[in-house]
Order: sequence, then structure tokens, then C-alpha cells
Amino acid sequence: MNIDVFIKKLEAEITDLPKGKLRGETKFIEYPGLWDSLNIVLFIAFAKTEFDADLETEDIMQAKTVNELFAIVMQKSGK
Amino acid sequence: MAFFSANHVNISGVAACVPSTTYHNTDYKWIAKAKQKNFIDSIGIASRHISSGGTTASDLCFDAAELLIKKIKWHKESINLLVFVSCSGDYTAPATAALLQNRLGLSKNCMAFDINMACSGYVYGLSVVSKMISAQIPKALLLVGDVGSVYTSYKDKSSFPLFGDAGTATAVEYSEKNNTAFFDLNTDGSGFEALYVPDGGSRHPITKKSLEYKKYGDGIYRKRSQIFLNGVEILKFSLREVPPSINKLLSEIKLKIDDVDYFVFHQANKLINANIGKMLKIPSAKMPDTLLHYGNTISASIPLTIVEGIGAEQMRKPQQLLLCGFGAGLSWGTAVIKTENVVCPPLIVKQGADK
Repeated sequence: MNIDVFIKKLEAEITDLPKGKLRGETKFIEYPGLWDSLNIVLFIAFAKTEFDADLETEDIMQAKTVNELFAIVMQKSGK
Repeated sequence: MAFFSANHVNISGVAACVPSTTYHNTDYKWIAKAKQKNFIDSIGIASRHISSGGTTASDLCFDAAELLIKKIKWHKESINLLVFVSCSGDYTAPATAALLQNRLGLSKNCMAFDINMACSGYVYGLSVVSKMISAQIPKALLLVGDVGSVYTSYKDKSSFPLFGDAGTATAVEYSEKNNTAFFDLNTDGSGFEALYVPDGGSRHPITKKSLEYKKYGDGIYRKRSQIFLNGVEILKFSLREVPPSINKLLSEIKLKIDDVDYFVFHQANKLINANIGKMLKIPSAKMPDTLLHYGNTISASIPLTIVEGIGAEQMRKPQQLLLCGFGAGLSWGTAVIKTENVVCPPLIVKQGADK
């Protein structure tokens, strides 16, 4: 899995993110309120189903960029 | 895992009843309009039937039972066992099953007791009834229902839009055919606080403080007498425990996913169920769904989905069913059972149930 594929999947899963604009270096701070309770559970489910990664809410909140989020998922991935 | 089987079990009929009052989640003002569509799409619940004026789970189960007994032409005096599964019984004591025995006009020779369980309750109830049936108790009624909407806070976006109310009746009888039902039941009480009602039991009786609203998060205000739901923990629990449990049971009885005709899951929310389906590679056509118009009806969701999601025509044909309930406890259970000629009367919509 490379970052481009991850971004495509992320955009499909979290519909509050704009399609085709995300890059690895994109900062989540550009999207205030993105990680509300609904998007957190959507992402946790996505990480478990797609990557067998068991994430905590804190894992998501500590990622400042898409690259960082990708790295956390890969690190926790059981696949 | 607690794995066991019960022989000579025949499910003769399943009926369900919901209150007539519906609540549409598009009317829910506690979630910003801009977020509403995404929310409804993700949880898969557009509307729910709710009991707003005193109708209890036992009222809904009673109507379902009366209709079912009539349709399958059982004599009431021949029913020897009544089990009521719910976490919203009529009284703290006695068991609601006793009240239902009397109300349904069943014989005094009928044993009746409650099982206090929530989302996994149908599978647990069916396991108990099946084991008793296999010990040659001829006929049993399994009445399963909840009125979860009564225990939710309007100002709690994590629980209010989810819960609907329903009562169901399942008729189970001894059959000379060697029809075996298989069960796998599990528990992890360490996670009980992920889904519970803190006050109202003997651990924390109701006090003035139980009735005060407190903020628990963004858009989450509730009383301690209301449902506390930690969505993240329930999601993680469901995706961690349910798929392996199903795989284990199927492997134990030497069946494959393809051998099952319908996977009837507890209707938690679309996010959880769709991901379980994806993890197990279950075709969506084999996963009946009643979330859209009924929401999460707690213990009643599996039998309600048999009636509304599979339907009478399919339930008359031979089917290999896998039933799986998971939730409060934390508790989860899976059953595999063959059925044929199951009578499923049309869903009862209890008019004036909220009056």
C-alpha cells in the first residue's frame, strides 16, 4: 500500500474531505472539525477492515498530516 | 468459547410488533443540518418506531405472541415454557415473564422467567429455550423485546438517533426430526461501561443527581438514568470479537460462509454491520437489514429482521440461518440453525401504542 492509494481510500471513507485535493503533506488543521465523533468511528472501522489496524481515538488526533496518519496505520497494521 | 448444541429444535414461527409512532432522523435538530445526511448515510438509520407514551416491551411482545399463537394454531394450555428477554422489563420485580404468562392466558403449568440481556439476548434466549426443548419440553414461547428509545437522551447524538422499539415472539417446539441448533456464547464484562445505564439498579439507585443532565462530550448531554454509549469502544469490540467468533463456530460445525443462506446480525448500525460483512466476505444479499426504518431495536433486532428483512415467503423454504447478537455486557453470541416452514405473520404496527 502506498500513500496515493491510502489517500484515495481515505477520501472515499471520510466524505467531509475534498476529493482529489489531499496530498501526503496536507495538514488536518486545514479542515477544522474534521475529526468529530462520526468521522473518528468511520476511520477506526476503515483502519480495522482494510488494514487490520486497531486504532485508538488518540492515534488519529495526534496525526498532524496525512503522511503521519498513514504511518500510524501502517505501524499498527496486522496485514 | 462456550460452544454447545441442542437437538430436536424446531422454530415454528416468528412474529414482531412495533409502535405506530415514528421518529425521522431528518427531524433531529441536535445534529447540524449539514452533518445530517452524512450521519444518516453512515449509521443507516433514517427513521425508527418509538414508544413515547408508556407502551412497554412486554406490551409489544404480547401483541406479537397473541398473533403468532393464533397463526400457528397452538393451544395455549400446551405451552410449557415462556422466556422473556429484555433489558426493559415492566418492574424490577417480579419477572415480566410471569405477567405475560397471566396476560396471555397460559397454563399455571407453564414455567416463566426473564433473561436480562440486551443486543445478544435473542441468541442467548434461543440457546436456553433450545436446550430445554431438547429435554423434551414440548412447546415454548421466546418473547424478546426492548424499548431503548425510552432510555435515551434527546441531547445525546451518540445514542438518540439509533434506538427504535420492538417486541417479538418466537415459537419453538420439540421435533422428532434430529434438527440440531449450534451455539457459541461469549462474555467480556470488563467492558460493561461501554454500553450501560449507570443509575437505577441496586449498585447506584436513582437519586436527584441521576436526573440531572451532564455534558459528556461535544453534543452529548445525558442523565445517569439514561443510556451511556461509547460508540468507539462498541465499534472496536464488535469488529474485534464478532468475525472470529462466527468463523470459529462455522469451522467447529464444518460449514463455510457459502453454506449459510442468511446471516441475521443484530442491527447495531450500518457502519458496524457493513464492516463485519466485509471482513467475513459475506454477500450483501445474504445479510438482511432493517436498520433503515427500525433502527437498533436492541434484543428484538434479530427476530424483527427475520420477519421484515427475510420475510414470510423465504422463511417457508428450508434455510440455514446464522444469527449473531453482540453488544451490552459486553456479550456476544452466534447460533446456526436450519429452519423450514416457519410462519412469519406480517409485522404488527401497534396503533395508538403511544397513547
